[in-house]
Amino acid sequence: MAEATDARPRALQLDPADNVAVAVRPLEAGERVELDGATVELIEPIRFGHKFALRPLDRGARVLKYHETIGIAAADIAPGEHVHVHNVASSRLPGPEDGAR
Amino acid sequence: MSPPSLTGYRRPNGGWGIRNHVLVLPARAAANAAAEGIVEGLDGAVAVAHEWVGVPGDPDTALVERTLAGFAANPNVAAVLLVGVSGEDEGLAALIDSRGQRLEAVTMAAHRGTVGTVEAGRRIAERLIAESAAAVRQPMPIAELVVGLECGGSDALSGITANPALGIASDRLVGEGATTMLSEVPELVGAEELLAARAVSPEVGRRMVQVVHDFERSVEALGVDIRGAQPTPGNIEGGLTTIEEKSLGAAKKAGNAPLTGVIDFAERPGPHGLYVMDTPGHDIEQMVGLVAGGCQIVAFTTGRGTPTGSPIAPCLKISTNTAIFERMEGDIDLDAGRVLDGSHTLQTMGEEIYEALLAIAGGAPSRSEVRGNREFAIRRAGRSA
Amino acid sequence: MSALPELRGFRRPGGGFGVRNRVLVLPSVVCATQVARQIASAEGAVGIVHQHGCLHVGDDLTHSEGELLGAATNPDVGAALVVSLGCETLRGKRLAAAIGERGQTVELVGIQAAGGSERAVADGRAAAARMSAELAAQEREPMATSDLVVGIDAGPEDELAAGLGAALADRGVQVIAPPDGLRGAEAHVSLARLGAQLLLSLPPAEEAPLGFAVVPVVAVGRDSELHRALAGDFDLILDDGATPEAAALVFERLIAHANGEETSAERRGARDFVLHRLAVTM
Repeated sequence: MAEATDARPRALQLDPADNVAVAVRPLEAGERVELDGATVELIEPIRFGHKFALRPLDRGARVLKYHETIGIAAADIAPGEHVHVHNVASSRLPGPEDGAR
Repeated sequence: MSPPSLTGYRRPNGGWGIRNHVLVLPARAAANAAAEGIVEGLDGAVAVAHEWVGVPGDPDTALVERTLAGFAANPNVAAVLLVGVSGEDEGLAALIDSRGQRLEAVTMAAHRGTVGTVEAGRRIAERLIAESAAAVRQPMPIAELVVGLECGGSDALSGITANPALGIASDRLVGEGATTMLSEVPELVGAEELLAARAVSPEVGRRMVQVVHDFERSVEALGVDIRGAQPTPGNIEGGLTTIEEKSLGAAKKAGNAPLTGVIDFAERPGPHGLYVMDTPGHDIEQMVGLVAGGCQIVAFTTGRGTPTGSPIAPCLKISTNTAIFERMEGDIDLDAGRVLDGSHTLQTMGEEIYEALLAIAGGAPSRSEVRGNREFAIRRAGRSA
Repeated sequence: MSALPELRGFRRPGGGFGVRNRVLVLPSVVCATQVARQIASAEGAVGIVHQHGCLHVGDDLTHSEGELLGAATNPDVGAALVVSLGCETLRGKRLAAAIGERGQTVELVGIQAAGGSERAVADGRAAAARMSAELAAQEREPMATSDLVVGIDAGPEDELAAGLGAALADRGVQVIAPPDGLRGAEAHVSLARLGAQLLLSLPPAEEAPLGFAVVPVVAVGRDSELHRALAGDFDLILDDGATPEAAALVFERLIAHANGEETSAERRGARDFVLHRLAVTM
């Protein structure tokens, strides 16, 4: 697990294969977060517990956390962008837009 | 390092309890008022109430009876006073009796209704309390522990702090011959293959995958958009985006131990190992199912904070983050958020959870017991649209 | 022929009457029920203990929210205190807002927002005490028989129910039946939503009577072994069905209970609340 930390971690990437990280403090737009050797600049504020992208994700790409698929990108997502219900669909249970599968 | 010692109550039927309750149980909703009247002002007995009316031909009868009988027969219960309405409730009494549980029954039809039943029931309850006071704690093998693993009010930190730490404690308990039980099938959607891969046999692996797929099929058949309920609005505010993200985090509670079996709601597991019980995500229904299946204690991780507990089993509440531990002061036992500030590793947190489980099993009160949170709910499955 | 009975109730904004003037402590989710209970016990308010609000979906959720809203805005409820946890599907805030929009006095206590169960109980007790004090100042006023709304719960095609219902309607009472063929405890919740101030419960011969948290239940039994054995839990037992004498007796009892006399269910503290669900919980 990689940590972006000063004294305490600001975000956690749970597995090197993950393309998202979890904010473990409220983070501000413009903050630069270093994880696993790479630096990501946040393009918007990220709330405590929420995720942001570590790499560009195309619409339809698998979102990876714990080295497992946690959903499918429903839109193109840029690095440092908030990743949540507005741009990710479940890959398992039906939603209103079948096109997101 | 030798395992720390544990004490408990040995029951005549061979089971081990970690509490010594006298339970007053209504067989059906019409007996709720009588059960509550019996324990009013009475120290040493606890009553529950539920909403099962039990009209003749109710399709839920077998499930409800199994749940109520399992709950009454939990070894934390020294004796149960069953409050029935009429001769129809003899079936439930027989079921409890067949488990070797100390049982007395009082029937409303024999006492002209609630008032007479409360009078007669109180005398019986007082006798049972006096009788159960003679039970003493003895050294108890850790292998006799059956620990439920539950999460409620999850947030994104659940899968990062509290659940993996609990998984370490669960693995240690299983390694020492105890039983731990994961539940909440809707919150294993996306994690079933991981769990199946650890199954002790192909049959168990198939069953693990099947319970999850059966749930998904039932959701499709209902034709509803489950996203309004799973993840919950609170989960979503806390950062969880999809059911599979929630499930992968939830499955961390089960650590890495092999999966010994998959059992039905309120069914008893085998003598040791990690099990998955087929329960809904509903916090109280699953807790009742776990306790009805024999859990003497439930470890409960929470991200958003919930005060819930069980009438007959202690509930070890573990917060995923320090903010909620401080905010919900008095409702939470342990803070796994300390993993994030460097004061703990997952390993040391897991050990602290293990120690706390044993301490509470040995008699230290959990916060839910101190606060008197005794939620109870029965699952009705025959109500699908 | 006796004079028309004097009927007195609590006038409600909007023109109707309640026959009780309760503070109803209503948990929006099962995880808040014990806190609600602890709040209600200290202040003489009525707490609902139910099993719902966690992980409902779709129509089932909408339906359940509607039933809780109906309970909180029933004319017998003088004021409502919603207790929520904070993470549930059936959102406490939304429910409290909807109750307020209907013109009902309402306050909200959130367990997570308050900082745990102990603080929530303290806040809730203070709110309940405040609302109780205001309600205590309200007095009953004269109401007409036609202002009385009685919900009847009975088995399907029950002759006793039909006969009594007709006799009550003849006397000017508004009689309502449960929707969608519901009966028993689940019907009580719907009848409360439809505005019943009293329930006339006529359980079938082999079923026991239930109370209800929101509205007083007058339980009338019949000449069956079970009903005779449970006589103490009924308000009346009829030997011969819906005779004119029986109807007169039932009407007299309804008036007495409407005027404040406790029903058997109220005396024994029977406060069931059984929600009809359209789907299983998830």
